[in-house]
Amino acid sequence: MQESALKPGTRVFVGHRSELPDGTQRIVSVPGGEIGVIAHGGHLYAYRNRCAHQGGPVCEGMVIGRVMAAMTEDKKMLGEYFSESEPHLVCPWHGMEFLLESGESAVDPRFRLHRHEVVEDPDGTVHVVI
Amino acid sequence: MTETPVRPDPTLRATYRDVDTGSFDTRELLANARRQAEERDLDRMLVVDVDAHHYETEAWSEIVTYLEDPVLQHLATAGRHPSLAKTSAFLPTQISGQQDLAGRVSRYTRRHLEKLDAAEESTKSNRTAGLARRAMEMMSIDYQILFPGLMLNLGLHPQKEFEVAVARAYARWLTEKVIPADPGLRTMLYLPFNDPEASLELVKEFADAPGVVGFMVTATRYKAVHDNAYMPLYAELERRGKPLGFHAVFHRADRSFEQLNKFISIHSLGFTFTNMIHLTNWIVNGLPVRFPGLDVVWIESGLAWLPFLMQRLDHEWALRSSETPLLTRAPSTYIREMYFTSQPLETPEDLSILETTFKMINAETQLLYSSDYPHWDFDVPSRIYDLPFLTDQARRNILGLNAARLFGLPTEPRLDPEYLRGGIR
Ligand code: FES
Repeated sequence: MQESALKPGTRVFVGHRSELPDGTQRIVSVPGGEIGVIAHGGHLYAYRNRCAHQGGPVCEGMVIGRVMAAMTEDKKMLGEYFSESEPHLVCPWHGMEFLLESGESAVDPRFRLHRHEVVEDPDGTVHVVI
Repeated sequence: MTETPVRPDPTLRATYRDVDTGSFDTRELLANARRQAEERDLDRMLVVDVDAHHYETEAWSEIVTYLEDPVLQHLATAGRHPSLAKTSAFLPTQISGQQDLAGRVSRYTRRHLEKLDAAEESTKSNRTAGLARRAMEMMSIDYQILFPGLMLNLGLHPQKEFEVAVARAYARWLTEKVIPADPGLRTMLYLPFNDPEASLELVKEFADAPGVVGFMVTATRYKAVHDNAYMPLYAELERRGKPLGFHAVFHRADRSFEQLNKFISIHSLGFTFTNMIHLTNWIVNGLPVRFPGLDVVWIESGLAWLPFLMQRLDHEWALRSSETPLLTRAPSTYIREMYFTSQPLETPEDLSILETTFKMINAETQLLYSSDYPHWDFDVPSRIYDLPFLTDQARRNILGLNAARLFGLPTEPRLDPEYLRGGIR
């Protein structure tokens, strides 16, 4: 693949939507690195496969709900549970967690993943935009 | 975003792969570390990793064959097949299975799936060296000092003869089987510190063994470093020019830590607190004055504890110098002459805090890059390389030249950039 062919805005083929059921994490090679496409909850998300922390392959990590704390009304701790509405993408290098929806760090605004647009054509072809 | 071209060009059918959690390969996990190394030309710079780990528990069946005492040897194998050899009689354990963040840090649960080439898979020691080799090559590390894992708490074993026996078996196994298997590997050997005489004997026996660049005391133990029994050991290390490292660790059996319920709490405090105790004793009892030629290295406590301890000790010393008769200058001035490994390097939002810390500890000459790979909070070399306040010389010193000077290593990179870029086996 020619580097010159991949100007910003270029679409890179990912696959057919039917090949990307929930739970798929597809890593697409592009010049200078990789883009990860993650299928979760009926949506496709794409991020640069380089973590905002130290550069780890963040798109290859676990997708898991945010851990929440349950308390009684008088602030006694009952325990912990997984959020079903806030999936996190967790980098496998050190475990930093990012909001799957936006790529922002779950806790530290200094860290944010580089997001890529995902385009799904009517025929089901999926591309990411560099 | 502009939308060109509209239709996919067949040449843009990029190669892709789907994440497969049923396999594991260091070269895939650390592919971005390789990219970082190439972007920064680290392959043409000396990088020494002063603290990395292997899993001695995964090679235990080989290590126990070096136990010299037949009774202990029998206990280790329980008279059974070597694959059934148990660590639990020898290595104190604790509730600690949370290091991998419940599987979020993938290498803990998957590293056993990694396949090396046939020669490296032929023995557990070769596999140990082979895994280290891959990590070094991916991170552009020329030399790596390997430390064990569970053995870091061996100093808590109730039978000190076990500590001595395991330390000797480990020293022989590591120096005969692992270190010779890769030219990049070095060790600061585990000292059975509960037995000062045995520690001295181990230094005498192994100081000149290939790859031994120093010796190491693990920080979870209850025998103070200034005990007179250790003076012959320190004198011997000083005479031989071998640095003494203190490797931080924690143990939940320490009563003051029993209240700390979460791993984040005990790891944050434990890894600094245990080294604070030994460093405080080291200074207050004048060991830098007694052994001015003995280099000491404080390993895996990060750096933020040092500004605290320097200020605190200086403050009290100014008022209570009667308790420190050997000290002729402020405690912090001795600390500035010691060595420190960099990991886990803290990340304050205000970088001037880190810059001040570097100044306080004379980082340009005293700081030693360390990865701690493969542990959960490892640091890639780019952590040091990318610090905006470092001069080029400071960066080179911290990444490799300080360690080369301290441990007598070559000052040129060992790994061949052409080989690294051609694809690592
Ligand atoms: S590189 Fe992703 S968590 Fe550190």
